[in-house]
Amino acid sequence: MATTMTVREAIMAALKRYDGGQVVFYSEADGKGRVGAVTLPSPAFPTIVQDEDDNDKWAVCGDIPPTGQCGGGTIRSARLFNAEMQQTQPLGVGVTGSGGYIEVESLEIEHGGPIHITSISCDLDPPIASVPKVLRGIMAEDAPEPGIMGTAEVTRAAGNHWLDSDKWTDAEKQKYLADGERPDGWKFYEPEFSHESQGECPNCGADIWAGEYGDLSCSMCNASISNLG
Amino acid sequence: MATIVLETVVRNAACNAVVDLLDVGGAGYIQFETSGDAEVATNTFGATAFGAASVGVATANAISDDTSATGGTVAQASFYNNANAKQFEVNVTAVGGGGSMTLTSLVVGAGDTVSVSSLTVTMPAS
Repeated sequence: MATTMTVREAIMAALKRYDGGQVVFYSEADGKGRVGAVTLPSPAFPTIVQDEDDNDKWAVCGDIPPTGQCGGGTIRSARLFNAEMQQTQPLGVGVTGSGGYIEVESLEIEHGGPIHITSISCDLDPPIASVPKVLRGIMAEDAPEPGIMGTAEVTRAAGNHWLDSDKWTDAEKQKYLADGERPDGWKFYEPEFSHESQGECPNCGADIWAGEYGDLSCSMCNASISNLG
Repeated sequence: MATIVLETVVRNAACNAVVDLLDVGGAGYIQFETSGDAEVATNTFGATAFGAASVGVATANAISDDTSATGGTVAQASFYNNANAKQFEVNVTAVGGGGSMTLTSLVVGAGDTVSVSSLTVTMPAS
């Protein structure tokens, strides 16, 4: 027999699925042009707050420590991804205090810089008339779609750590900064950096910067960008 | 707009029919490939690739690691049966990229180990 859920219970159940998920930020309002991503904590929405005026309750994800290595750009929207990589439609993003679904310290993100989420909130007691709008933002794309979903992991063989720049030793980083030489000895670009985007990654839409030109992969999603040159 | 709702028994039957194609002739395999279809890594299913579907979802049985990958930049994964006939293909992205399959690094080095940690095939009700 089907179990009847209140609107609040349904929304809370949906929010729980984002434990350990991700917030991916985009430079376009329609969810294109990836700027960067931040991993949600688990639980993602640990706090329930109550509005003093109308007693409405809100599920809140508070301040998340900023993470770096973003492609950079101006944030205009974001999607939540749950652990099964199901995603919401694009959500509005504002600066702290703007009252948006998602608030960040700054909408302007430098290449390689951090994104600092200060709050994500969701109304648990929306008026019935507004439920579809809330569901559009948080739940709409949770329904299973036909298809295949999987995850796979890569474990580096000895000597292949140069493929992950975050695994370089301090000495390797210093050498790279000094003469643009990777740990394997392959010189792939000059250390001078251009602040003009050279185009978009064909896979994730992130800006490709001059520093990445000719590199093996996009710094955001690792897709090959060698053909852009 | 016309709608159709599949009962669970139908969802399971459809799902099983798809995944059982991988068992034809013996153990099938997943081939991670570049955008140009070049093999990057190959992971082999067991003799029965997937367990029986439940509520329209079939979950893969254990899949062997590729402990010495060819290497390259992964863009897609193709699913073959033991007769080397491709049954379906999905896109692969880095984690957070929204692909059907996600890989912790799309750039795979020669000799790296590639492990498939989860894999499901879903047939929804509608």
